[in-house]
Amino acid sequence: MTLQRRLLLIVLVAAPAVWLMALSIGAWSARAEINELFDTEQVRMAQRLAALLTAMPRAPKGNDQAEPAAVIVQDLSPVASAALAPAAVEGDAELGDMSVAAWDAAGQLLFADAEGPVLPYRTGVTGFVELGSDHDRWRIYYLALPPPGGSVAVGQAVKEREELIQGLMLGQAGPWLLMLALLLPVLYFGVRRTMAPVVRLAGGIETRPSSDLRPLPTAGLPGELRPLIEALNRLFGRITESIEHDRRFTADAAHELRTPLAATKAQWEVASESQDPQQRAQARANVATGLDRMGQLVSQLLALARLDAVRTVDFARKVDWRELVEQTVSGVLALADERGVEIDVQWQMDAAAVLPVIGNPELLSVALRNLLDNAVRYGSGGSQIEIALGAGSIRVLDRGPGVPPEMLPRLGDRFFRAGGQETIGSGLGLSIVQRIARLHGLELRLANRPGGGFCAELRRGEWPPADSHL
Amino acid sequence: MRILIVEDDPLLGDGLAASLRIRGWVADWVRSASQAAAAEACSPFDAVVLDLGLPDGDGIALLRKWRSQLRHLPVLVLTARDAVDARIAGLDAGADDYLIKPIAADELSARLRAVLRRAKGRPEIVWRHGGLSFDPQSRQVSWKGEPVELTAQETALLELLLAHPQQVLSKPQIQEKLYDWGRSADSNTVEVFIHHLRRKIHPAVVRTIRGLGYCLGDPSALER
Repeated sequence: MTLQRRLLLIVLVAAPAVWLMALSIGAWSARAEINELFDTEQVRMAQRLAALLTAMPRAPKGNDQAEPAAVIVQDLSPVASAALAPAAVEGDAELGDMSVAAWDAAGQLLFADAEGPVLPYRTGVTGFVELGSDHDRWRIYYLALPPPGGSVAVGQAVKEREELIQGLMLGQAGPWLLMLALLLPVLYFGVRRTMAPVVRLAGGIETRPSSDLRPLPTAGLPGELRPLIEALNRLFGRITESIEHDRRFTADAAHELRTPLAATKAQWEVASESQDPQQRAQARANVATGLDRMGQLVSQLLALARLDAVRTVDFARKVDWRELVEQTVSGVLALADERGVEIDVQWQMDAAAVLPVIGNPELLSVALRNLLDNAVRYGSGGSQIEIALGAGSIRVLDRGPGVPPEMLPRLGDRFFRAGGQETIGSGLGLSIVQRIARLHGLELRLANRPGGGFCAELRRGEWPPADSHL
Repeated sequence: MRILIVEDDPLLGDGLAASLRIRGWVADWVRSASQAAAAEACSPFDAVVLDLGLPDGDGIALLRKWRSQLRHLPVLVLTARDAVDARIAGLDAGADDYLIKPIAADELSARLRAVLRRAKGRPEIVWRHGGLSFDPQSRQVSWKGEPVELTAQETALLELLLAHPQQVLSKPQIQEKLYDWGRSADSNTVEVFIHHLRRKIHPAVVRTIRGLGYCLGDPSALER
């Protein structure tokens, strides 16, 4: 269910429900008030009548009873009239709904209301009684007179009270219904209008081509949506970056694979077509160089691809740096001898405490090997390479020409070669070192040395790496 | 025909230049955009084979510069960038052809010939001049239907003269077209080649115009 529909449902159901509840509470309280008012009136009128009757001289017993009764009725009629009879102006009075009666101690009717029905006689009771059928119910107050006795009754049709309550409620409900009729459309359009930015946003995202990763506009958005959209935009940014990264990598890889392939092919054609034996020999040697280059490139690319997909490599092994350095250095010794470079390993602390103490020795060896390789190849202007192993860092230092400062930031980029195409290399070595370093929570820092030379340093970086995507 | 190869990869540049030379082209190889601009400005190249990713700038930028200077020079882009966008960008920047590495030397040769046919407005596959014919693809020269054995240099000189049939070419002009920078000729070799052409084909095949240079003999003169 959409938010808009849910909101509409709540509002459109809740408003009439609340209104109905308010109306019934109103009816209940009006009924209580009206009952109180009329009951009080009935009691008071009965008391007045009783007071009048007790103040009047009674006819002696045994007399003809019909006549005095009539007399009393006549005598009393002005009294009754004062309380009940129509005033000079009748107003809206409904006299038929009210009735009074009085009896003497013997139960003889002293008088009764001329307009209303004759109330049934009861004796000895004081209080309210409801009598009659559903349609013609009466609420009657009986008041027993003090000795010698007798009784007074004041009755009112229940219908009268109901009509009053109904009238009151209708009077209230009318304007309310009108308000509701106005309120519901206003609420409906209000909700729709409030939700419009969300609907617009959803529509905008839905109709986008999947390749469109431009940020969504945040102008005019409600405050609740802004964080969501900003988070989405950040995600779009990261996806764009990642796609761009992949695209660049593919383009670079294509370039780096095609160029040595094209070169090898061209050299092969020269080797097989040239009439000049010297040129043929040279071209054959060039073919071998080209194949070496492609072989190195392919294995570096594969190493990098494996590192990218690394999930299951065991990083929880103890690293024996002494053994690792020995192996790695002996791996580059041949190249170092060829270039006349000496490798000097400096233990600045116990080998067991060099960082990281826990990790994957094979990968760390690959990283160190790449750094040493670079130092031997590009740093051979100096005669010595140092490997300095300390608690905080592992450094590979040379006294070569270093790297032009403007190229330093690009050194870790895949396929970037500071030496251009002159040097044989894939441009992937430092990318690999960087990746391995990050997998171990290390950081690769590259800098020129004061006094000439280059320094590659592996040191404790942030962990976990903020950006595991390299 | 003299071709400029712009390629930063040493193995590829060397290989391309060598295989084009084997196919009878005069080829020079430079390794950067700045060298390419300088080379193009000082030597009369017939076409350029241009790599795009160069150490000192993009080949496309160089191409745009040439085109904005209204150079007609045919340019074949030879690159590893194979995306459709890149091809479109290359062609729209003024490339006459867009080739993806790796490419066979024979195909590159054929593409160069195709581009030169269009550029020079010579649609014919075999060039003819009187009884003389030259097939640029096989580089075979025939005289009245009979094949003539010529050295690569002699063929190149004849090709040059056939390419400019109505034009007198000076000796320095011929030398610039026949030799790349690696192989400078001594001043008499042009005369030697012309002597060989006259001997092997017909004495009137090349006319000497004193004080100016050389041009092809009149077709009617060749009939005699």
